[in-house]
Amino acid sequence: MNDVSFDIFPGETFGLAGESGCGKTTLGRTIARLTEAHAGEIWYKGVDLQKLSEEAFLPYRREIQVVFQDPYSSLNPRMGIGEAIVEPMQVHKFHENDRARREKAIELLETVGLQADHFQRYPHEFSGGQRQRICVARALALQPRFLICDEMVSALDVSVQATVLNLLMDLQEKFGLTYLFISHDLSVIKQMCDRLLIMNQGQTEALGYPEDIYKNPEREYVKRLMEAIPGE
Amino acid sequence: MKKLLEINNLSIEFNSDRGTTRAVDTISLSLDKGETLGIVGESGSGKSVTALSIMRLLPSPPAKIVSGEILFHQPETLNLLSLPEKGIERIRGAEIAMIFQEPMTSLNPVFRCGHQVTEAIQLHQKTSFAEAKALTLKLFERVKLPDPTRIFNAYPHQISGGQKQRVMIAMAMSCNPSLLIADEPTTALDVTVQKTILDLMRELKEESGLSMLFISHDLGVISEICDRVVVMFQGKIVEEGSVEKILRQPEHPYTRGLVACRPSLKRKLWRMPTVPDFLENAQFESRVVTPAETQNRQKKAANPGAHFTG
Repeated sequence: MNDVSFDIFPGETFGLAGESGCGKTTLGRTIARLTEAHAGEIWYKGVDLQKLSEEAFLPYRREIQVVFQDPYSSLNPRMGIGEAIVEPMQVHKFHENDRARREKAIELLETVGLQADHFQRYPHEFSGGQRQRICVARALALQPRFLICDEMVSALDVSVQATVLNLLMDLQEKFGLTYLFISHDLSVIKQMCDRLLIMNQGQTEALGYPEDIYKNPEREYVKRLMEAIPGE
Repeated sequence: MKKLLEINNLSIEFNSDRGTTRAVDTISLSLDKGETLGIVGESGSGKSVTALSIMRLLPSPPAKIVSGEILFHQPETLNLLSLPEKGIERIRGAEIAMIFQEPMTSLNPVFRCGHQVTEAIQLHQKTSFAEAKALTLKLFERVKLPDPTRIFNAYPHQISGGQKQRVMIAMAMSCNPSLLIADEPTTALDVTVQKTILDLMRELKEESGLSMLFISHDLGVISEICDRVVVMFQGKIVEEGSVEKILRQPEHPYTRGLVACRPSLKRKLWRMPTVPDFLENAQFESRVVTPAETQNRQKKAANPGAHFTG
């Protein structure tokens, strides 16, 4: 990734598009400080995240949450899904005690369209779409402001994808969340995002509103991404 | 057109402690020589089970074929379901080849890519290793793998997902099958890589007169490569027709849902339509976000004070 600059406004959904290996996942991980940047600054609400000590970053680690592509590897197969949602609340000392945390976890399960009696079950008992809902519930447990969705719907059936996209839109409405929505699929980006950045080999190809970029794709690369959408 | 494959009244059940589930329920379909037939449906609709039953790859138990026949005309008519194991082994991989969704798990991680293809060749054809290797390199060129010699010697983890799927296609093509079953071959790939794989499969089909059974959950992908499509829902075929007809005038509410739930480059909707929406109300429609509404939202986002409470 090389010399990429952009802003994300609060409450918006900002899209990040490009092929595998273009640097979009690295960018998302760098914002959440899961990867270190060599140069540059990431300002979040007036604070340069890169400069913070690990301790000073802790509140931001709570505020900025990531949901990954693979719903099969991002949940611990030996941990009940309820406990998986309770755990981050324990780590960050959210709510008074475990009972309150459990109640909160059940509420979160219901928020993402699952049921209270799913609490005791294990990841293998759920479909891919349901697992992504569990990951969202776990991310929401820490009342984040900013959610990084890294190819979150790419592994799902189109019909399941639609339901997860609706969930994300509902949650944004409900909690005023800001999204960084990473995807290789420009049709999904069109549905979800207010603005987008298209990256190619770590460089910026396009930055702006989807309606402008799609109407008149100046760059060959953008055209290629658009033409790759099947059935259009 | 001459028929190549016919499935008549096929029903498949799975037995478990919790009881019996009918995964495939009296389906019938046929595939002409040179035709590409799509099977579309969601996870659990029975499409993969159908494909596996053609190859006789369903483990039994728990799977049980309750009724039906699968006729393969090449050139004499065989009922694949009643062939002895020896008979099906001659067909599987040679006459009917299959590629799967996950190229990562379909290739053995501890063997070099080239050797996995030569093994398949030597299993079905009486050739020396040198001949099999020469054929493999030719196949790698045919599926447009860059630097065939390097890929031949590479382990699966050293090449990309798209390249792995090309190796799988090379392996599938190695014995000149008359039928290729592709089960979600592009689902794990980026859209751009998916497009190159679909282009390749289309080319191979035109060159060799191959028939294809192409399985996907995505009608968009199906429309890129198939002539005809059957729609499977809860183990049954609920609709069948040309790709054109299914996309433009879907009749069954389930098919309507599948067509509508796909996002488009051209529009943004207030809410994505889902399959259940259409099962409840076949005339379901979702409202398009107007340009004025889009601008309104953009203004709101660019003005932090109005929106942000954090």
